[in-house]
Amino acid sequence: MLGKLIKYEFKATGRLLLPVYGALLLMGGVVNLGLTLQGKLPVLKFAQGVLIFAYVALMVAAFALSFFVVISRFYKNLICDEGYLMFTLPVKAGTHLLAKTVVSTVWSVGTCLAAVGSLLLMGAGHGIISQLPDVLRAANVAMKGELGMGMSELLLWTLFTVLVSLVVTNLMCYLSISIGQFGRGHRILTSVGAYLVLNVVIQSISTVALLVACLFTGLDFFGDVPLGQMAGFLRMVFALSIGLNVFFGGCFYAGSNFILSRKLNLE
Amino acid sequence: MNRDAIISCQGLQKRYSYKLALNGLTLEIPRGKIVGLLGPNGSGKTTFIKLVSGLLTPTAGELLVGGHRPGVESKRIVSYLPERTYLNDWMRVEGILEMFSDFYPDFNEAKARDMLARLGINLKDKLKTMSKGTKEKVQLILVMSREAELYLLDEPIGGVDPAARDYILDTIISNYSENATVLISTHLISDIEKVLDEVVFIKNGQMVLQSSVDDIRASWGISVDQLFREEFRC
Repeated sequence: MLGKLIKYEFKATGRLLLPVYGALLLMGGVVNLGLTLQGKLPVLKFAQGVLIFAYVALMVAAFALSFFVVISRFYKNLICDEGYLMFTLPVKAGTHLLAKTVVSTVWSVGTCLAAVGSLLLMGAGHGIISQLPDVLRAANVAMKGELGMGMSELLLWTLFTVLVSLVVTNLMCYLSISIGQFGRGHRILTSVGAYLVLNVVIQSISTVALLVACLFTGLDFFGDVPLGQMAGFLRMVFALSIGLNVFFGGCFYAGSNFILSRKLNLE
Repeated sequence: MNRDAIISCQGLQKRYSYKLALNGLTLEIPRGKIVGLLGPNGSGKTTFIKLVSGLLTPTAGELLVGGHRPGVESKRIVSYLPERTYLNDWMRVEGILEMFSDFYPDFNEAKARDMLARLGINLKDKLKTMSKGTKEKVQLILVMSREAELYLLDEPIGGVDPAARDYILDTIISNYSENATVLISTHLISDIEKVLDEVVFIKNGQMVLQSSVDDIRASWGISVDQLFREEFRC
């Protein structure tokens, strides 16, 4: 059943997001073409500025739309009228939640990959991509010398942290929307309120956790971190961030599952 | 509780924060009958149907559907038609047929296609391009094309014209599985009375009467509609 739910979830969301990815990649190609042509036609320098602006706007819109599509899909498909169909399918509420979590994660990663692909398309054929390995190698050496941590390790930590954050953000939205259904007649307002409260709670817990971690490791929470200790500090922050996010994500998932299984009240 | 009945509940209670919708409802719905769940607005009909279909959890009491507590097993044997349109608007009719086939092994796709064809509904049409009445008919066809043990129809003829009401009632009668139970919730009694075997009157979240239609006519000498008007007079 999970596979079937995922299939329909991809169908419902892909019809909106795939054209956006296509537009992003196309725009990368158009900007690339502009860069190529402006060398031959200086008048295009003005148009290039407009193109770059449109490209950046499209990039921002792609990320915003990706987030909006997965969140509004959850709301419309489970809490609105479509919920009468979905919750009468012979499937547990937790399976619905898992299907939506899997698909939203894929789209979050997909949007990032589309953005990177679009940037690479934009720079292709202008020496940017060919210079990239040398630039990264030089940055790696410089960072290792200064921070004690190489570029590749920093990138890996960052990617993993961002990925976990994306999943947890979606789960927090799902829990907020699940709580929102208790706000009879004011579901969206209640969801927004729940989201703000959850945000305050997790920020508070995260700050306290970082403070405690600094106390245990002897680092000064309020002062500057000495350069020699920077690598250790960064690893601690990343590990703490990932660990806390996994904990929060588990709580959000359990909370949503409980509400949708035991306290569902579709209007 | 009688596990042979398709629905069996004892002391069933459902409380919302603002209201006690079901107040200790005890009843049994037998297999193989068309049963009318009749009561005025706010009597608890929709709440009961949502509890049976697994959309709500009881506050107190016991409820069994086909011998199971409402959950994945009961949802396999229950075909539910809510009083609202619940289909994904962006989908085409053929897409929703595929979805029902995927999730319900008892879904008879050939029967559904035949009924849709007789209504002149194009399978390539998107649901959002259809009128409200046509969408409701598509929904009804999907629900009645399942070979379920229990059909729950919540106000299936409310808000439709008389010709459409006849079509809906004919579709219900000619398409439900022989040993299945059809539970129809409505307050439009006169239209539905002719198809009912039994009726359950519900008021303020409790059952006030359960009887066969023939017994009502024999004992009271009046129609179910007339008895309803007397029972629930304002």
